[in-house]
Amino acid sequence: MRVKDIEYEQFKKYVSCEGVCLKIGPFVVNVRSSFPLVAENIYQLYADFIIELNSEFADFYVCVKPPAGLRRWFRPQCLFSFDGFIPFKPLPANHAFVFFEWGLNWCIAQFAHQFLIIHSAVLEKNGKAVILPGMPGAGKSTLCAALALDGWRLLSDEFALFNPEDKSLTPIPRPVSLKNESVNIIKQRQDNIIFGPLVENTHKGTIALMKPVTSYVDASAEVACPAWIIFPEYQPDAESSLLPLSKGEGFMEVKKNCFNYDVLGERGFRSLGELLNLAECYNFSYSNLDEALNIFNQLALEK
Amino acid sequence: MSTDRVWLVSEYLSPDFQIYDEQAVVYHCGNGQTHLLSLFGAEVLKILLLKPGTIKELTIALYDRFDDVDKTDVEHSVQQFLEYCRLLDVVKMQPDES
Amino acid sequence: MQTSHCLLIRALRDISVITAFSLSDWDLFIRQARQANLLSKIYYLLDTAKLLSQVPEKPLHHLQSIYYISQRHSASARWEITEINKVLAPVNVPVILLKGTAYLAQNLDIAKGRLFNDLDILVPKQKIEKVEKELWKNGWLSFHHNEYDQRYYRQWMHELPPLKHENRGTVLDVHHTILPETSKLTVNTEKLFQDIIPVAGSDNIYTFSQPDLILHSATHLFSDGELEHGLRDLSDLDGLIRDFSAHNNDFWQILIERAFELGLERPLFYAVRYCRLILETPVADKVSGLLAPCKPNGFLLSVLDRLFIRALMPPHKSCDDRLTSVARFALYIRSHYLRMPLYLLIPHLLRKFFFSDKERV
Repeated sequence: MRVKDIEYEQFKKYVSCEGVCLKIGPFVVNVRSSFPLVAENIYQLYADFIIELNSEFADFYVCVKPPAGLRRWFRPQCLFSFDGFIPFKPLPANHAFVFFEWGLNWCIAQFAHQFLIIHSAVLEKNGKAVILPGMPGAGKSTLCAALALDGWRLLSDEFALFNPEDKSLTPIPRPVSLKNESVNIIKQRQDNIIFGPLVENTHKGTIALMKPVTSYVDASAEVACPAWIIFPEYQPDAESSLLPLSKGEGFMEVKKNCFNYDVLGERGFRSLGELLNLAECYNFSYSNLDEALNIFNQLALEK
Repeated sequence: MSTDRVWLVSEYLSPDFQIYDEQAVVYHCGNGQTHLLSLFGAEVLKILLLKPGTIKELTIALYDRFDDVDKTDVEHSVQQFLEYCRLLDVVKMQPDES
Repeated sequence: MQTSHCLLIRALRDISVITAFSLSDWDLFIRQARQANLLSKIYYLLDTAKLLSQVPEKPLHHLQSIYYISQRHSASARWEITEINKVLAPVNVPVILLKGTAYLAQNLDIAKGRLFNDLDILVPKQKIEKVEKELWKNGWLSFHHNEYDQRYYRQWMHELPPLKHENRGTVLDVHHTILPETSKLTVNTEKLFQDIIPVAGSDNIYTFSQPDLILHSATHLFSDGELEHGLRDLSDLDGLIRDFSAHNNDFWQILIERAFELGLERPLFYAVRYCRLILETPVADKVSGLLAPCKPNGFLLSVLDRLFIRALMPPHKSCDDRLTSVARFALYIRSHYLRMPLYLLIPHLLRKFFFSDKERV
């Protein structure tokens, strides 16, 4: 059963009482929240996701709730809880849904060390996947959203989950988080995109989440083979250029974008080595999205 | 520093070097540091990994592998590289037994 | 309060109970073990008992994930030991590793799957300034710049403020005794230094002897400690007792005599009592008789039973009853009460209550 197969009122009740178990990529996540904002946004943006009503095992129990005490009425706030543990300071209550998104990111980065986890977008075409690592502000999410709208299958806008056992990338397609002016740039590219509400004044600026296409969600179980690692950099007025990067330098750059390279120690080193054996590395600067798409599509044809 | 001291690879260095065309990446399992090395450096470490040796022995072993280098420079390069690696705890000198 | 309904407690007593777990039992079990900081230990217990093949795929991912972390922790801790050996060689004093790193350095079974949050070392008080200076020269810097904190650690506690390595980020606590100077319980620290065991391959690194490892752990948990890792620490004690008593017939005799010699018989009494009550640790028959002189009076003991048995449960809501938070709070106050006289304690707690948030930023 999918989220959209349940009546909204019923869904909201589940979310606020015992929590609902959502199948998000390789994980089952139990989400609970008394904030209607959380239920509303999940119902809209995760509409195509599988909901497990009688789940016996959840990987993560997460909850967004108001803090105890008087703050409930005076400048209300929200807290993220991981099975009773509170890893972050509270945020304003109107950030409740993005807090769920960020909190879930934290859970994955903290506890899913069966994967080498790289902070990057991942997309796939013709069975070959591109990893787009990116420091904030490098234009990773914008490029990722544009590629996803252009027929590249979205595996994730946030995490490359590399499984060193079978050398594959596990998809975790979730709503794509866009910031500030990127929101309008992407909105203008197509009419039928569904966005959640704008969330203003977060530490990342203004944010909106874009609903992933149904077919990408349905393909969550189909792993992909890494073929390219491309470091995007948005440079105003720059001509698009795709320059090969040596694998040694690529290794050191990807390492900087790993969440758990240090935690995994020698295993992380070996895993990243495996990944670099499979993928070619490039530096990519761009200012025009259509040009960028052309270059990516060309690359997909070549290999 | 005497040139007849025997050098060896730290037991903390991961034996699985990642070798790419012109470079190599090595990992120190103790302090968790990763280093990007030239292929020359990786060769020195690989030789040491097989058998600890003096700078002279290393230089002779390297003559065979890099025939286009200026051979008088090799010994100096080996020495410089080992000093650099010692600071990173990647190699060490065998304790002097005399 | 019943303890046997808690899946984690049952598995610590006998790991083979997992063969009867349903998938929803696994769900709860993983959560309890994670919050109690014992998930990686569970991996090793399963591995040793050759039961990993019985674990369903989903929970197995969580166990493997934490196993990778624990492997990195021990590799890193071993490296830090060699660094400390090198850095403190010029001071030429015995450096005693405490707790987890000691178990690791002596290759004890209980070190397997233990996570190391920070390293603790003990050095003679008269050399502590030289030790601090050498550490500082080699990149171990204090990150508590606030004057109150500095004084709190140096004057009232038994350690330097924690030091953090500027490159590797590891945290080191340097102690000069195992109990705060203001503590009601006192210990003869010089005697602790008389009975130490060298760490193989080091120049001046030691650990306590077997009995002292147990006494220190017991003192830490029952007199000094805050109980955030209560069950983990209790399971350390359980592991030490099982390990040492299996290899030495005179173990209990030696342990109890040493406890009286050091004045640490009361913490040992509690350790034995709660290991037995909660983890069913095997204890020789004669032990109750030998420890009888340090048994608290019946009323105090029944109060402490109620508090400790609750507070030593995994910190997970499935193991709480309506008195758990009261019990934890009461023991928190007790640990501070044992640590400092009231005229120091009350201002300290007030300060923590009012300033903690602001100063942590």
